[in-house]
Amino acid sequence: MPRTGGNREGATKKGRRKRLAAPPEDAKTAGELAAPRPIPQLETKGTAPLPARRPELPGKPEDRSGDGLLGRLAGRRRRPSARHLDFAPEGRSVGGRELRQLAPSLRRVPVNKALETNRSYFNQAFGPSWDIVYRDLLMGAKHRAALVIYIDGLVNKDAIQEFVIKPLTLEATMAGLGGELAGRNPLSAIQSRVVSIGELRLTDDLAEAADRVCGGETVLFVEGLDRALVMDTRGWRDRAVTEPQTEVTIRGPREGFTETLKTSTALIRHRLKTPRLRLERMLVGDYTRTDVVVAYIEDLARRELVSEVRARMNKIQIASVIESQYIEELIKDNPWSLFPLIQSTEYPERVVSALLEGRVAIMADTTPFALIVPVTFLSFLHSAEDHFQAPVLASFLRIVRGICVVIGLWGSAFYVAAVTFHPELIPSQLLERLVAARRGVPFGVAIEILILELAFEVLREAGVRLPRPVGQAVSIVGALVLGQSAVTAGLVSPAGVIVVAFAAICSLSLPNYWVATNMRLLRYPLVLLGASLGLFGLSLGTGVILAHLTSLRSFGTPYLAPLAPFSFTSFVTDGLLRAPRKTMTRNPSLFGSPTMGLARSGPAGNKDGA
Amino acid sequence: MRGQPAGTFEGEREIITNGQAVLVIIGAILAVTAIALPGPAIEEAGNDAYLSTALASVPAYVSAALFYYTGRRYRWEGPLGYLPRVFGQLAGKAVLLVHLVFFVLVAAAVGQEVPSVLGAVTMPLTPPWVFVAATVLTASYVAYLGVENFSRLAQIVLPFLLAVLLVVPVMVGRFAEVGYLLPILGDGWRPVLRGMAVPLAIRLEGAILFAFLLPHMMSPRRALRAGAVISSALALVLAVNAISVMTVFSPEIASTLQIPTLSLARMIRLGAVEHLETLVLGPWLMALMLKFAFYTYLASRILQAVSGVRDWKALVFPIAALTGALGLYLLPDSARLNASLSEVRPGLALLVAFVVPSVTLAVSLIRGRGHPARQEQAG
Repeated sequence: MPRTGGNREGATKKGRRKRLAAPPEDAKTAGELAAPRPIPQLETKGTAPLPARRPELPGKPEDRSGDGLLGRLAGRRRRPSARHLDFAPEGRSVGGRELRQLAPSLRRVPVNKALETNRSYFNQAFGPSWDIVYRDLLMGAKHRAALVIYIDGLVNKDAIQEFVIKPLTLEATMAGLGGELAGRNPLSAIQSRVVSIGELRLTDDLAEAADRVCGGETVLFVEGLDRALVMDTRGWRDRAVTEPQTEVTIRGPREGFTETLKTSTALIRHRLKTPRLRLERMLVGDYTRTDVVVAYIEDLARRELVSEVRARMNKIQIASVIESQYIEELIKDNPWSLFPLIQSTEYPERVVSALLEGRVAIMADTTPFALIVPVTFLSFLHSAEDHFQAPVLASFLRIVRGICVVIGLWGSAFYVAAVTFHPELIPSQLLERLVAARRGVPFGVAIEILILELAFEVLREAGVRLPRPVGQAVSIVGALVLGQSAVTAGLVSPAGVIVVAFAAICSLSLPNYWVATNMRLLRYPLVLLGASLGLFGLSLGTGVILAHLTSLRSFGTPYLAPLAPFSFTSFVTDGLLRAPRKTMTRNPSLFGSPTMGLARSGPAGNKDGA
Repeated sequence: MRGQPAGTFEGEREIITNGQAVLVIIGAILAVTAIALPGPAIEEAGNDAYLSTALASVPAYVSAALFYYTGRRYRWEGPLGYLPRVFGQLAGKAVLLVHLVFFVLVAAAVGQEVPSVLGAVTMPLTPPWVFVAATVLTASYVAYLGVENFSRLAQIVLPFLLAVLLVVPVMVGRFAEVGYLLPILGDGWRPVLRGMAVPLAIRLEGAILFAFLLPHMMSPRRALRAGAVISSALALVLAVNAISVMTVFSPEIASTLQIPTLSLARMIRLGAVEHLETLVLGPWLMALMLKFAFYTYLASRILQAVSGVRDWKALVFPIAALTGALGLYLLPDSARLNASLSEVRPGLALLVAFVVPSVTLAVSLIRGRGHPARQEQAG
C-alpha cells in the first residue's frame, strides 16, 4: 500500500475545511457594528507587530502573542504547542485531532452587505497587522461606498492604483457609470467595464476572501452587496530566473525554477506549448496555505498514476509546507529508505522531459525544487544534458557514472576487505608498498578508513555551510594541508587517503547531489562488514542492499526497472544507455503504459487459464 | 480474464516473469553445482562425466512436466494448493510436510556450504557459526520480501554467476588437454548413468522449485518452455564446466578436488593480479544466499499452509534460524556434507520430484470427473 501522510481517513479537500465558530454576536459587538464609522484614512495599518507566522515555541496559557489567524477566527486564546504542529515521523499528521482543535475549521462565513461587518471580520482575523491595508473609496458619480483590502508587500500596488482604485473612482465617473455602480448589481459592470485586472472572480465567502488576501490578491467589497470581487494582483518581489545552482550543465538552457510558482509554471508552459498540459492547483499546509501544482500531460500520463498522486496529496494534513521536501517526505512510498523515491530538480528541462515520458511533476510555491514521480534508480544516473549530447558520449558517461556508483559505495570497503582478509588479491609489489606505507600507522585499516571518511564528511559540510570566500579557503586548507600533515605525521597512510578521496569523488560525480549524499551513508556499514567478514561480508551486504532496492517502488514503478524487471528496450533506449533519437519513437513503457506492471495471462483459479 | 497486474497501487499480487523464474531456478542449481560438482560425477563416470551432467537434465525435465500437467489440471496452483485437494486435508498436509523436510534439509546443507568453502579457501580462522549466522540473517530478510522481490534480485545476481562460470573455462582454456576426454564412452553407458546420481538429485530440486513457482509465473501455459530452457542451459553450463575441469586437471585429479571450479579460477592470472578465485566467490556466495532464502521462503509457506498460521512472514526467521542450527549440528564438516549430497539427497529428491508428483497425477486422473477441479472447469 502506498504510504500517505496525513489523515488516514482520507479527508478530501472539502473535508479539510475546518469549522469556524461564528463570531460572537453579543450586545457589545452588535452595538459597535451598528454605529456608522467615519470613512477612515486611505490606508490604515495596524500598529502592532505582525505575530509570528509559525508558532513554534511552546506556549503558556497566558502567552497570547502568538495567536495565529486561525486561532483568532476560532476565538481561541490557547497557544498551540510545537509538538502538535510538527508532523509525526510516521508520516501521519498529528493534525488528526490536534490540528482540528488548534486550527479550527473555516466554516463558510457569508459576505455581509454592510461594509463595516466585513471590515470587522478582517480586523478580527488579521488583528493588528501592520501590512494589511483597508482602502475605503466612493465609486462613480453617485459615491457608492466600497472597501478594498490587500496586504502591502504581496501585491502590485501600481496595478491596484492604476487598474482598480483609479478606474473605480475617477474613470467610472468620467465614463458615466455612476448609475450602474449605484444599482443592484454593480459587480457586473465593475468586472466587465471598470476594473482592468486580468483575473477576477466573485466570492460570497469571507473566509475565502481572507485566504485570497493572504495569497496576494485584492478583495473589493461594495456596500449593500453580499458578494465580493477578488482580483489577482499578486506582485511581490521575487528572484530573477537564474541558472540552477544544484544542477550544472555545460550545454543546454540556463534557466532554473524560482520560488514563485507562477514563474516556474510559466517556464514549463513556455517549453510545453500544448493545451494538454494540465496544471492542477491545490493548497497544502493549514498555516502556510502553500500553492502546489500537480503537472502532467493528459494523454501521456497514466490515469492511475495521476489519481494516485492526487489522492496522496489530498491526504496530506500538515501545518506548514516550507519546502517541497515536506511534500516529498509525506507522499513517498518508503520514507525510511536511504534511496530517494522521488526526484527533485531545479531544472525545467528535466521536468519537461519527465512530463513527456508520462510522469507527473509536483511544484510548490516558495521553493524552486520541483518533484517528479515516479522515479527509478537509473534515472539518477541521467544528467539533464545527456539529451543535449551525442548518444555515444551520453551512453559512455552514463556507464562511467554507474561505475562511479559502484566505486563510491564499495571502494573503501573493498580496500579494507582486501587488506584485512584477502591480501592475495593484491599484486605483490603493490602489497609491499602498502605494507611499507602503513608502517607506524597506529590504527587498523578499518578505523583508518572510517576516520578518513568522517573527516571528508566534515570537510564537505564545512565547505557547504561556510560563506563562499571563506569556504573555499577552508576546503583547500582542510583537503591539502590537513591531509598532507596527517600523512606526514603517520596518522593515516597515503593509500587510505587516496582510496577514500577517490571513492568520495566518484560518489559526488552523480548528477543528483542528494542521491550521492544519501548513498554515502551506506559506505560505513559496508566498511564494517568488510572489516569483520571480508568479501563474504561485502557479498552479504551487497545482497541486502540489492534486496532492499528490489523491494522499493516509486508510485507503483519498481525502483530497479528496467534492470529488474528487465526490459531490454527501455534499458537500451534510455536506461543505462541512450539510443539515437531516431529510435525513440515511443514513450518508455516504464511510466507511460501499464505494461511494466506484470499482468497474469492466466491467474490461478481461472477456468481456462486465459 | 486478466489478473490484477502487479505493480499497481493496490491489491498487488506476487507475479514474476517466466524469465525471472528461469533465472531463479538456474541460480538455485548452480549455487551448489558450480562449486561442488562435477567431482562426484567424475568419480563414477570418469572422462564421460560431462555426459552425466548433461543427461541429468532429461529426467529433471520429465519431472517438471509432471508438475506442469498436474498444475494445469488445478488452474496452475502449486503443490500448496492441489495436494490437499487431491489427497484430502490430512494426507495432503502430510505430503506437504515431506516437502517441508526436504527444503529444510537442503537449505541446511546449503547453509553449511559457506563455512565449508570459505573456511578452506580464505578465512580458516573464522568459526563456522559466524558464516551461518550471517547467512541466516541476510537470507531471512530476502525471504521476507517475497518471491517477486527476490526474483528480481536473482535477475541481477545470476547473470554475474553465469558469466563467471562461462568466462573461467575460457580463460584457462590454454591449459586444457582435450585428450583427457578420450575415449568417449570407453566403459559404456553404465558409468555415465551411475555418474548421474548426484547431478540428477540437484537437478530434481530445480523441478521441485519449478512446481512451487508455477502459480507465480506470468505465463504458466508457457512454463514448460521455460523448463526446457532451464534444462538446456544447465546442461550446457555444467557440461562446459565439467569438460573444463577434466581437460585442465585430468579426470583422475579432478575427482579428488573438493572445489574444482575454484581450483580452475586459481589458475587465472591477469598481469600481476592473481588469486582471482576470491572474486569468483562473490557471485557464488550471493547465489547461495538466494537459494537459502528461497528454500526458507518455501518452507515458511508450507508451514503456514499446514499449521494455519495467518502470516507466513512470521515464520521466516524462526525457520531460517532452525535450518542454520540444523546444518551446524548435522553437517559440521565437509565429509558429512559430501555424504549428504551423494547419499541422502538423491533419494529424497527422487521421492519429492518423481514419486509424489507421479502419484498425485495418477490419483488426480483416477478421480477424474468427480473431482471438484474438473467440475469447476466444466462449469
